[in-house]
Amino acid sequence: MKKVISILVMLAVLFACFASGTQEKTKGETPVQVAIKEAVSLSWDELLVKAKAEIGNNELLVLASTSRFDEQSFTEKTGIKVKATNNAPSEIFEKVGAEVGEGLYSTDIVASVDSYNFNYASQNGWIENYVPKAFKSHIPVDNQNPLALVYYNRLFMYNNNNGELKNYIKNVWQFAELEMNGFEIKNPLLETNTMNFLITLTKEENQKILADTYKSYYGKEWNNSGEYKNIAYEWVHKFLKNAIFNNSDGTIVKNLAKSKPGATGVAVYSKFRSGDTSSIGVAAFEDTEGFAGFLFPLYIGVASTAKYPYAACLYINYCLGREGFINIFGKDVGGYSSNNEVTISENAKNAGDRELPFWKTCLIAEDMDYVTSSYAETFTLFSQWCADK
Amino acid sequence: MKREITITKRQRLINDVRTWFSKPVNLITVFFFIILFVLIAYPLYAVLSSSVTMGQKDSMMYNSLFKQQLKKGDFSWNNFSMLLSGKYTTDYSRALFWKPLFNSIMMSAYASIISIIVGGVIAFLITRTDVRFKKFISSVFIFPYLMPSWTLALVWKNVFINSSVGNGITGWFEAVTGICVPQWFVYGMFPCAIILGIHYAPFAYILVGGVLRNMEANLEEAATILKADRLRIIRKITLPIVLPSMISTLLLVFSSSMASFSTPNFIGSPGNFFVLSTMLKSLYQSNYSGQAYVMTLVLLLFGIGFLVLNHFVVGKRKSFTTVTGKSGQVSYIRLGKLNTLISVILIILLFFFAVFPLISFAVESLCLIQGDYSRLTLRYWLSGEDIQDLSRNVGKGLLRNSRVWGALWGSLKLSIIVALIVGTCGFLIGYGVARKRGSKLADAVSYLAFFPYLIPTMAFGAIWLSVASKLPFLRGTFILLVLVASIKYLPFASRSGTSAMMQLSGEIEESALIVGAPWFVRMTKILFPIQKSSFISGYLLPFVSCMRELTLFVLLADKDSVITMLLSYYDDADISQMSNGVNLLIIIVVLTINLIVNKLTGASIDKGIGGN
Repeated sequence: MKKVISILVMLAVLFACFASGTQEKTKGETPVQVAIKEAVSLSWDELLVKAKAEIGNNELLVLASTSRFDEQSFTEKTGIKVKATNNAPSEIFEKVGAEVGEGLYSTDIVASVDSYNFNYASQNGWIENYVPKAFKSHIPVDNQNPLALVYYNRLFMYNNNNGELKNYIKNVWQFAELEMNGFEIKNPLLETNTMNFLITLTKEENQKILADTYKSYYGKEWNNSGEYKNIAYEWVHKFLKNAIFNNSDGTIVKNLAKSKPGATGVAVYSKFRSGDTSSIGVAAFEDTEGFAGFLFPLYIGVASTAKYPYAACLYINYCLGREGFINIFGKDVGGYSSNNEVTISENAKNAGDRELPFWKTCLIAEDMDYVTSSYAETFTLFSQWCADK
Repeated sequence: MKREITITKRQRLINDVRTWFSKPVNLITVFFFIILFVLIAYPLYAVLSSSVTMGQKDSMMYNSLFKQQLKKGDFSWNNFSMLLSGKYTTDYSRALFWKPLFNSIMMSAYASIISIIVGGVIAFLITRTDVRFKKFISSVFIFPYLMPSWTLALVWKNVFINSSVGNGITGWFEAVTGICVPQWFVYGMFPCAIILGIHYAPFAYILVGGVLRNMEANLEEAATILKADRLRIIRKITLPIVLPSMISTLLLVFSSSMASFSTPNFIGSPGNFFVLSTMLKSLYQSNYSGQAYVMTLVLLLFGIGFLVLNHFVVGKRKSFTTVTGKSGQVSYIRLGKLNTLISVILIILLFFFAVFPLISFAVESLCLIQGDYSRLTLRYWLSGEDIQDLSRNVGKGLLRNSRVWGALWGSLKLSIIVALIVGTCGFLIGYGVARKRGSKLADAVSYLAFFPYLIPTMAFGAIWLSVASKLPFLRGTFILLVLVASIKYLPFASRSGTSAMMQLSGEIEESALIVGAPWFVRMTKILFPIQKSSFISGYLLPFVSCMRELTLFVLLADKDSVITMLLSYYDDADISQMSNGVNLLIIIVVLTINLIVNKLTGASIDKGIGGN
């Protein structure tokens, strides 16, 4: 009898081992999580086979805050159809919360700027993170969870009267002076990465930059009179007071081209692709004390209710590689892969663009953790300043 | 022998109910009361609930700011106290709520007055005077409404921006005259009020003009015989008769202006002029969406206030009947020497606000390089090859682009279906409300039909996104778009229908009833044809609004399903040739439909009030 029981127990244990399948699956993992876990170690060809088998003739849905995903190179390479929709970041997270958050399928991939809300969506389990093993060592650890796909830069620029005016923005504290009154920027209340930049400025290391540049500009140390919490708050308040809010980066760049010499604006560099920018000077290429703008990432992840997670992972793989980056983001200036093996295109180089390491030295990079931890207080106060001009 | 028939109370009640429901007007009113209550109650409940219930993000923010322990779903007055009573700081309340509220009220009041004056005066000139170029004026005057209001704002800015404002761009006015207008003229409340007033002036033109067109001259002729001067006639006869239309217009324009976002965002924000709608959008996009719902409630309360005012003013009058079935001749006022001057002024104003924007769209769509007007091309309209716009594959030219035609067809399909549903419902609601005027049921239907207009469009779209997530058969479907758009645009048609039916005397229908005409025949052969022009506008206005709507569909539709989503895509992608071309295409399509309706029915938005 004892023998029988022990054989039965052994069989039961063996059965349990095999019944769990060839993948290690921890209790409570969703099909999407299981697929991502497997996809991490697959090669491109292996993943392609799985993706095609999974998706067939259906479309991979991409919900993004940029229209750049609306192109055909991935489909031409793999045969997998892609349907990309672009919405503002707030609309993306509204949809993700209302649909994916309710367990409904509405998209396979979510790609958006706005680190605070992307982090929020990830923490709530609406977006799953995926970093292919092949690229892991080429992407800085800080950019891996959530995965930063590409970086954009928003730069201080001015009308240089066809090159006659040089080095107009010498110090960031010029933005606090009346001479800069009327410079154009997108409204931080409506443009989340601008708000996140202002919040990131209050970080201690950035306060030091502002303190050094204050001393250089005014010839004296910054004195905390008590009106502001710290030097960054003063800079932000005065910066917002002088700003005129415009709806569109493209319009800001076009306006600068037609403005009087010395007219200033803050806009994404990628808008230099359209229109005549020969009379626009970029502070980052000159001697500006402090910083010349800011850098912010486009994050990407797989929706937790994705129907085609293998295809989604394949797509992210594609975007991280050189071919995908150049076709989708890199044909012109202003886009930089987080994969440090992927450089900017020849077209961008010829137009005067630089690699990401250069931009990291002269721009303030959005800090997701800091923004998340200090969001409530700074966002509320800066919103008040935006509205009370 | 006489037989006594006993009727119990129950039988009497059944008979009374049966008799009551046998009248179509009662059946219609009850039917719409139930439908509207169901369709509108949930959005209202959602707004109320969201303003006092903590969302997850709201609770995170308040816990951090005020050291509270709130969780998602908790009841809290934080949204109200933060926004209205300065729980964070009084500066925050003032900057984000009280000052924008004041700005909204003032801007909307000025816009309403401007729209009634402009629209009403032009309607009067067209229907009651011998002003020249009537056909042109009445046809072109509706253009400002066909265009999104931000396009008028763009024209205003391009004309008046100058070297003393902002970044010092020289606009057309400075280039021609050398005069620099001050900043308040270019950005701020002044241009917002002007633009919105002109944009909504067609409302006044259609509603007031429809009444003037059908008003009998007997009343005015009687006053003339009694030696009343023209001004007295206008004050004592004409104005009181058009009062319901003017109040309806005031209501519509004020509510529309309060909820308007694009114009104050485009031409107000650069002048540091913020209104409730711009703040609402900012808060809605931020992590204080609960405060956005508080603002939505405030906008609703304003709307309710105007509804009550409307009821108070209109309810005092027994009748606004102007069409009694008796014959009448319209008598024109002769303008004499002033005719040419007035006509020319009107043409110049119309050219600036109605024709010039179209020329601007056309020219922008022909630029080979954006902003460079020296090299024009038809490439973006006619190219059969894919266009490479610098680094972007744009697809074929507009007229050969299957994506554009697909989206256009989607919009047309949606707008026509919505117009048919809403126009018919509006006519029936108008019939029920006018015939049962004074009853609580009719008042309730009238108010319920107007409510969707008071809910800001972005909040409305978000609420229905949430509804659709709980009803999978609706999610992402065309039916959802039809449903949402129909509810949203019902107020146009119901106001138009009610206004029109109020002018019709009950004698007309009674005469038909006496000769035994059934209800359907009375509606289709008598009532509808008499007020055809007003009823047709109840179909055309929702059609036009739906064709150029974006905010309502942005969360519910994808970019290839409706033309305005595609326009927004081209705008975001900074392909201005395509976005301007699509804008022009939408206006051309709407005008064409107007022309077709005119040919088929003899009525149109403009023709109904004298453009013949």
